[in-house]
Amino acid sequence: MLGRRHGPPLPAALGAFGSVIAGALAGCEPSPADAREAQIVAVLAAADEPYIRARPALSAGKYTRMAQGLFDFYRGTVPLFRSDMRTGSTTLAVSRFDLDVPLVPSIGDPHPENFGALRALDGTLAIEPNDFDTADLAPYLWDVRRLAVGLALAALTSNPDDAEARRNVVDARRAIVRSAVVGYRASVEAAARGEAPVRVTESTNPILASVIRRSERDHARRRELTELTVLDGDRRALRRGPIDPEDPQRVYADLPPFALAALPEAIERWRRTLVAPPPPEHVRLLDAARVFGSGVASWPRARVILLVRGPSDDPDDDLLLELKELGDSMIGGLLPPGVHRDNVGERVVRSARLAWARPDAEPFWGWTTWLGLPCQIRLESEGHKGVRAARMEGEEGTADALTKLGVVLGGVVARVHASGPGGAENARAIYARIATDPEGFLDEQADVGVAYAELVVADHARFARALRRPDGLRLGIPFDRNDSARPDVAAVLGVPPAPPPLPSSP
Amino acid sequence: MIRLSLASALALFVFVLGARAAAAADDGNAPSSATRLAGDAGPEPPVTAATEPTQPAAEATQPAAEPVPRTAEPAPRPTAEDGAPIGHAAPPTEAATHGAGPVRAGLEVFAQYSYRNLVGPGNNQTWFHAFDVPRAHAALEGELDGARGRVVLEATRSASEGSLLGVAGDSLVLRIREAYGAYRVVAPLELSAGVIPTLTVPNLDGTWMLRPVAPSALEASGLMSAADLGAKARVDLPRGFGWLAAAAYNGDGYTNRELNRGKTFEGAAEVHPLPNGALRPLGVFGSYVAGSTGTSLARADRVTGGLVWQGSRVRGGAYFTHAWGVAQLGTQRAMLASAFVRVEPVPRLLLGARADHTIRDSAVSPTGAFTTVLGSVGYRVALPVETFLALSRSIPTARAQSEVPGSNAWELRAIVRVVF
Repeated sequence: MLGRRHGPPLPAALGAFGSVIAGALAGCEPSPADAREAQIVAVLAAADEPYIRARPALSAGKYTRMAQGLFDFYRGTVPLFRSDMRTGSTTLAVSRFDLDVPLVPSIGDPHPENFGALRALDGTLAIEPNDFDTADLAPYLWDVRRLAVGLALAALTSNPDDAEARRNVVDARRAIVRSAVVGYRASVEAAARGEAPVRVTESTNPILASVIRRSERDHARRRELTELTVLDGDRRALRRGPIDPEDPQRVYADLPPFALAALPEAIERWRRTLVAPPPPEHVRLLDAARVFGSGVASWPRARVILLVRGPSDDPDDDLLLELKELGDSMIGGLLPPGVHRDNVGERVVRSARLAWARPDAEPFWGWTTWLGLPCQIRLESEGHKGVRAARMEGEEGTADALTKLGVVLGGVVARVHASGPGGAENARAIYARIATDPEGFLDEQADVGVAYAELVVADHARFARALRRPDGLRLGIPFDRNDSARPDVAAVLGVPPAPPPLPSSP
Repeated sequence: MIRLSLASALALFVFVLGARAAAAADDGNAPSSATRLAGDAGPEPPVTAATEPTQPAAEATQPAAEPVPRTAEPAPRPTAEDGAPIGHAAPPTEAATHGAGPVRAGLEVFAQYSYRNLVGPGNNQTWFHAFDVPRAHAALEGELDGARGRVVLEATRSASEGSLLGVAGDSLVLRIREAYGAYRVVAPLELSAGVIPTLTVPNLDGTWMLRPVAPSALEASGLMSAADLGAKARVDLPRGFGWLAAAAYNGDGYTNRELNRGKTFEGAAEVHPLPNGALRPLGVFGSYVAGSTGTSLARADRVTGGLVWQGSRVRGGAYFTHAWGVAQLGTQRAMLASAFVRVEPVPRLLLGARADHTIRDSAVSPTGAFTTVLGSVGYRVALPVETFLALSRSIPTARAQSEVPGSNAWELRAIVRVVF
């Protein structure tokens, strides 16, 4: 900061020491004029530094994806949300209803796209949280506000091809956000009274009804086998190359032999963590491929699609599983001891089982290690549809549809906060805070959600601008050849497709 | 441009003053560095208790923040009753600063048990207790012919808080805390480079001399680091008037890699206006940091000023810091005020107290601020062993508590420090 490219010549009397100082100060560049842009870049760079250094191509793919869509940008910026919440740089954390003790089980990133249909061990379908990469213990307002902002953004991005419909939804965004808080408050109050948690198995809401309907349809068709595999005689194998004509970034590629050879042990470790472990032969590995172009925040992580035998040798009952490398939650470390699980996989999966209305809501969701990497494995199924902001149009894009969605998701988040040992006490502590001004609680969260969503919109433009700067896709992290991944790690990570050009404007 | 000019001017000032001080020392027939290292007296040292009849003679053997030339007389054997160094700070890391000989090895360990009670709104409470090793240093230092080298290894958790990914779980591992070479160009001027102690935090820590009880508020708040990668020049003013120093660093502290091409400059001075009388411990301290951090060159400037009292049995100080830029946000304005005292009313009994007030951003409303008060009682069991009981209370404003969960807390700690 101090340095400038053209400084005054230092007096010769400084001699050697002066040279040291001058050299140290030389070569500095001015920071971006927009302090917020600088903060966004610096916060994300600090959070992603290991990935940018060791997996630059994958990180570049992630940032390009974030630049392409507002909602994807929000999904990829949990570290920025944390910075805004914790450093005092915004008023995001300011609340008359905050409660830092006790921490509660937190989904971590409960935006609408992290909810969807999951099929339980008994075959029944329910709407549940379906991403726990960020799950940890946190103050309850973290999830409430993350959801509130997510719903406001969903309103802003709804009806992409119908300006009038979008305007109606945008005008109603405060009410939509408020509805989620209403759902949250009602569910917390019920939990505080000791009522049993609710499992959402059906809905009159068009968005959730569509999720359930399409999940049932594609589950019956085993659509994932049709789309992601090829059948050669009586033997099934995974496809290779691009798998989605509309998204050239989604590619399946071969794994190196040593990585493939390590998978059976990883699968066995995973099998033993399941709620109801299937027999080993049911999950015997038939094929595996490296997956590129999936997720947003987790885009640079190793991801593998696994084809396993299923209950019989009949290729029609083969199963697809997804193995994904896990990382730290990014929201932990608040109260001592700072970590609350023994390992990363356990953090994710135990958080999931607490969050769900029943622990076997997705019976194939477990954890393992693969080549030393902490990983989760879950079922890959077209019968597990998720809520998608991009689908919020037509009857799924009305203010009423989003309002009802908010009520349900708010209720699910409250159920998570009241789960596990001490859940009822947590619910009572939260409700005691809310009860000091129940209507004020709704208004405060609605106002914060709407206001922060507007900041996210502006931040998205700043981020896209920053990516176009020199070293933008590295977020300014200097290149160092010593950072390159070891050959074996590089082989596992693979070579992703080149990212598309950055959008000229978001 | 103004900041660069200020940096250059301070660097020039330090250099010229060093040359003048050297000339003054030569005029006084001070020996060369070679003769000093052969066992003769160096340039006129700061007045120490050894030459002051009102103080115990053994005080001269206490280490100072930067090495002072040894006297011709053999140092008296240090005892547990010795007082603190008068008129200057203790070293930021003390391992291997004791003893004699051209090469010294040492260690410093803080071991503690802490009980922390966290208070949330609505009288919700929780607690946690743990054994910990806040500091474990192993050091090696050598000096010859005006050159000096020092390496300090320190133990740290391999993963940060909230992280499950570390080395072998979250083991205690060793990293470099200090690693530098230094050369005394002329008697009062020493240049050093490597992983070096910074100027402000070590001086405040070394003034209070209760680092086992708590790091300085500047370090605890994350506004400054105790060490960084860079180069430093320090001049000891003649006749115990104090010192001045200038340094340039990467700016991201010794725990992080450099992320930008900007460098951080720190200039600091401590002046003892009355070095020959009873007010010799009184000093005026000031420093200015012009810095940057992170990939976006976020501004990280700090100005610090205060008074210190570096006595043998009573030590204390009060200072104020204004920070432009905090962490990755260059526009944030933080302020910190701290007052501290350490009293040894009878030899071996160490009483400490401190109060800190930190405003996280002075430009926003409502204000997010913390007030922390701390008291400690300690006893020097033997020369290398000190024990402490410390009680602290942190009180945040409502906004600060919302932003920093767990900040409303009190903590009781039992601490043992061993240093060689």
